[in-house]
Amino acid sequence: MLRVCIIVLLIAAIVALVVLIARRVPPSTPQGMRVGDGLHVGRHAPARSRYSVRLDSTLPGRRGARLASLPRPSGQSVGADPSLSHTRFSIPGARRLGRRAGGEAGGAGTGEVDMRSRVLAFGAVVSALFGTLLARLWGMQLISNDSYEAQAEANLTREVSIKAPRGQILDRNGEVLVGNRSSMALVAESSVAEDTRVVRRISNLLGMPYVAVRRAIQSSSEGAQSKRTIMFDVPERAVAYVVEHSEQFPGVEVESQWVRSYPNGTLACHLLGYTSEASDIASLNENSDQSGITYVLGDRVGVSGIEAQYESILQGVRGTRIVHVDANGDVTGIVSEIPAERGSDIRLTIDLGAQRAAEHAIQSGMAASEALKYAATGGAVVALDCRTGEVLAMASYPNYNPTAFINGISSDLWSQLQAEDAHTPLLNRAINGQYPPASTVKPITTLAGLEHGVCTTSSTYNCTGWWTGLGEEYGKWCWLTTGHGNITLSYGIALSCDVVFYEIAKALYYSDEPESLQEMFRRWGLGSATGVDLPGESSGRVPDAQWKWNWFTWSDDQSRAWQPGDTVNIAIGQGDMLATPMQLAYVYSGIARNGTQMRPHLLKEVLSSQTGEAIAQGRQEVAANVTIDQANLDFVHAAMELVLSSSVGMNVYFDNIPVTVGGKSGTAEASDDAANPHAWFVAVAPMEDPQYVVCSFVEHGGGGGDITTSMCSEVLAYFYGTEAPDYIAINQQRGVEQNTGAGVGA
Amino acid sequence: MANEATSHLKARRGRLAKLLGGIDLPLLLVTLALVGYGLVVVYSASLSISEASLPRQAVGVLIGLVLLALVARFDYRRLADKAKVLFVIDCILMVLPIIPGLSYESHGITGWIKVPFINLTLQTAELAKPITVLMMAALASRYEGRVTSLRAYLRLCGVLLVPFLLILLQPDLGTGLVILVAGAVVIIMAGPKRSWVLATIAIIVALVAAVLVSDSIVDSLVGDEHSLIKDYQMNRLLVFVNPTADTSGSGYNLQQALIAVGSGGSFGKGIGGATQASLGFLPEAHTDFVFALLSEEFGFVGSSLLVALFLALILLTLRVANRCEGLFGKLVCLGIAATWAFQIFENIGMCLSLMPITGIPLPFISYGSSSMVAQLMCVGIVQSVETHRVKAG
Repeated sequence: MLRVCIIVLLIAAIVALVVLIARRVPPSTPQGMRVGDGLHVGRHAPARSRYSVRLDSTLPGRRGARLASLPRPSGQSVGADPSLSHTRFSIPGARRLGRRAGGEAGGAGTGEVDMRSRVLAFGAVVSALFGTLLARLWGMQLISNDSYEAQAEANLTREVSIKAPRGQILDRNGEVLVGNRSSMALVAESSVAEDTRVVRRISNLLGMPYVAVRRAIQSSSEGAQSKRTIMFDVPERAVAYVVEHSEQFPGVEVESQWVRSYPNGTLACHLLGYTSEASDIASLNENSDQSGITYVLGDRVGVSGIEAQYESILQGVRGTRIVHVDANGDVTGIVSEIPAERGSDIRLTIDLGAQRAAEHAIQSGMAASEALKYAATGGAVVALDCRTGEVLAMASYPNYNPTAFINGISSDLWSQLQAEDAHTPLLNRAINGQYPPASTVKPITTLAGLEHGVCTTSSTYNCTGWWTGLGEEYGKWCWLTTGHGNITLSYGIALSCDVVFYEIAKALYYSDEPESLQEMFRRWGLGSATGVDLPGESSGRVPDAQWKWNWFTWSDDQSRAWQPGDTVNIAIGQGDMLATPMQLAYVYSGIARNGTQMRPHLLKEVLSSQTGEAIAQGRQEVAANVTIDQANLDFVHAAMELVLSSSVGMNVYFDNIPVTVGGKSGTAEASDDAANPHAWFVAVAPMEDPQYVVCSFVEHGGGGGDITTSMCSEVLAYFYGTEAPDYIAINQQRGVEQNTGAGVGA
Repeated sequence: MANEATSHLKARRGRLAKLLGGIDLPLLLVTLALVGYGLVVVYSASLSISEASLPRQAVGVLIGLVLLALVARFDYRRLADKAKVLFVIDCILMVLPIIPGLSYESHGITGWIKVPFINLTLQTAELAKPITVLMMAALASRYEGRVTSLRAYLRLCGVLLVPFLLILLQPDLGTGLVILVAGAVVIIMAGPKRSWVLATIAIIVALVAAVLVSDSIVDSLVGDEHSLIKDYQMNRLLVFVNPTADTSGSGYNLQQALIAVGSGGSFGKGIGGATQASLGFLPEAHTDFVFALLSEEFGFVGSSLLVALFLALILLTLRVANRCEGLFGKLVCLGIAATWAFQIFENIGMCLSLMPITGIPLPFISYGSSSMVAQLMCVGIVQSVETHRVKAG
């Protein structure tokens, strides 16, 4: 608005100039008052007499009269106008005009007086305009100087944010599981994407496809203003080339950036998780109120595992550097710097050695399963310290290389990881793999039976291999189709006789509390997440009448209704029952500790990145106190020992373990692949005063027991510092026994 | 008659003496001060801007001073005869840059011609300023301070339109406006009827408004390339109306200039200490925005000194006009004063956000030999008017 006013004022000034200077039009006055009049009339040819007349009528009579009265010698007048007398106008009539003007005084004289005021008016207008300039200069340079100086200073300086490295993730003994290293990264401004020549050069230099380079630069994940990372870990040769030929790479820079390092490769990749560039910083900042971290686009945040769980602890605090820059944004000097602060380190409860043993066990177990012609599509091992709830090892297979996520995973690799034959390597089977727990729940079924009085510790059963307790048409096989014959409850657990538990389930179903079995399962934590400190843990499933009705909405009422056979099925951990390896390890840790269930956790300590001192401890809490008759628990403990001591050749697995080991196997019918059941084993050691609970699992691993037991044994061997079992030898031995049909069974 | 002859004789006899004594010494001193000031500024600009070369500018000053001396000796009244010839030559020169091969483009303006065989480029529009003033003064002085015929008034306006339109072809609106304003001042000083001038202004305002309004329509019909008002000119105008609208785009130059001037403070940041100019924030710091550079380096003291020197130059020129007896001489001085006044006010005004941005150099200060030579020749013409007047006594 101000400026529009200025324009209007300027136009007004011009008009004022005209008004001041331009000849006034006075009222008509009598003619013939000036000598010069004749000149005008004479100059204008008769053809233009119309103008002459008008001209004469508009003569400034007043001024003319005044001029005429001026006492001026005619000689001086003539002399005063040499310009006219000497001028030879090439314009027709001009010479004449000059001569006449020279010859006749008055015209020039009139001009002089006339002109003086015009010149003065012009000078006044110019002075006024220049005065405006001075006033404006006064205002800008003397009054508003501070604000402009601040703007000039703001021009000069830039605040550069320094990325902070994330905290390290250590194992319980301080071994680095996830560290940081600096990487030479090639970064570019977003505008570079438009420069095909530069993109082509980068593509040639890095050996990256042209479109990939372009896409990396255009990627909006790092925000509109920040520079885009084209590639981390640029080869030294390429770094040198870019630095030396910077003129060929406008807008491209080599920057040292912190990236995650994984000294143990793929080890524990699922539980550690990975980071990626923050995409939704708004919600991140909303949730990071407590930590006081302000995220900016381009920050890397944990998206899975410990990296995500303890994001606020691991995330560092950005530093700020004030630098001097020129108009091109080139840094000319550093003014001040607040250094970046590395995020706090996290010490996990994980034992690197146990983790190694667990991962080796899975791979050995899967190899052994494959040797027996089973599919063995994956596996998991969870080892807990049941006294504290510390997770000592948590492994899942297949795995992935977290290094692939450092620079944002390529879409090729991503689809590779999602492919069906890759068997979901990103899935942490330990907490997200949900499978029928099968015979591993038999001790809990036993406890339900004992607690509800449908059986006693001395109950005996008769197994013919074919059970018709719910009628001939609902007959069910024991896993040992030839039958166990007369069998006690404890041997029912030890030999995993299905018929024993069919009977208990039937009795429970027809008792006062038809869902008492589910209640017992839930009491030990099945059907709900254990609360381990990892994001997105699955809760498994304990089916009941309500669930079945709601789940099978597409079925008729008869099919949706809970049947006694359903209770019978879940009594042996089949049917629609699901559990994760972590859940089973948790359940057994409670059974082992006489009902005291410690919350599984991975965080041992938070260490200050400055001093290395512990600034916070992991929560060691009792998750549940399951109240069970101690005598019943003792009975189950004994049965778990019996599993290993009674069975044919089972004790060979734990020959290398110096303490008494108890446990339970499981063979889960896989709904998607009947020929390749899942294999479970949960081991507890030492049985006298349980400390370790190890749950091993092989997906589609075939017969439960043999291989998974070896896996538990290998992990326990690490804890007791003894030698790992010889899978091949055991395999051969068990292979022979399998042929004779004397397996451990379901 | 005898008196007349005596004074002529006197004038001829005293010519040599007049050469030294006849010139307007204050005007010469002010000119030299401005030229010296300009050289200091160009020197400081050359510290950080590779395009600015002090020796090149000094050569321009030397050529200009020699021409000043020659022109001052030359009887300006004989220029009145030659005005028409010069005017025609100048008009041809202004057409030349449009012919391919002779042109040399800079900043989108093809206003330079390359003189064949020697490495010299000449900005023809610079010469057009004094020549148009001479032409208009020669024509207007025929009417003895009273343009009483509308046909005569229209004829004056028509003649003025010729160089203006030719310069618009280059296209150099800035120089065109200088010529238009200087010519207009000469016409107004020649004494036309007030109503005619007011009507003319009204027509111009209406025309400009119409062109501005219809610009977007014209753009869409023939494309910005061929339309009368280029996008950058439109942007400059919009930025002038609202300078903080887009500081990184069209408004960037103006914003940086304002910061440069304002941050200069009372005494400035000293030679080489101007961060806005030396670190490249201020564009065209040695040419169009040289005043911002000067203000940043020398502060209010330096910038107001410059404005004072300019005012002195114009007022001294007006004094010469007043002392001169002939109408032609007066009009020449007024016209030249008007070219200076407009260029100075427009150039400084745009640095202070008082005027829209146009590419007009600041007389005597901006880097560029063509402008320097032309400005010094203008001083020479004014001195010629002074030396060739008949001094009383």
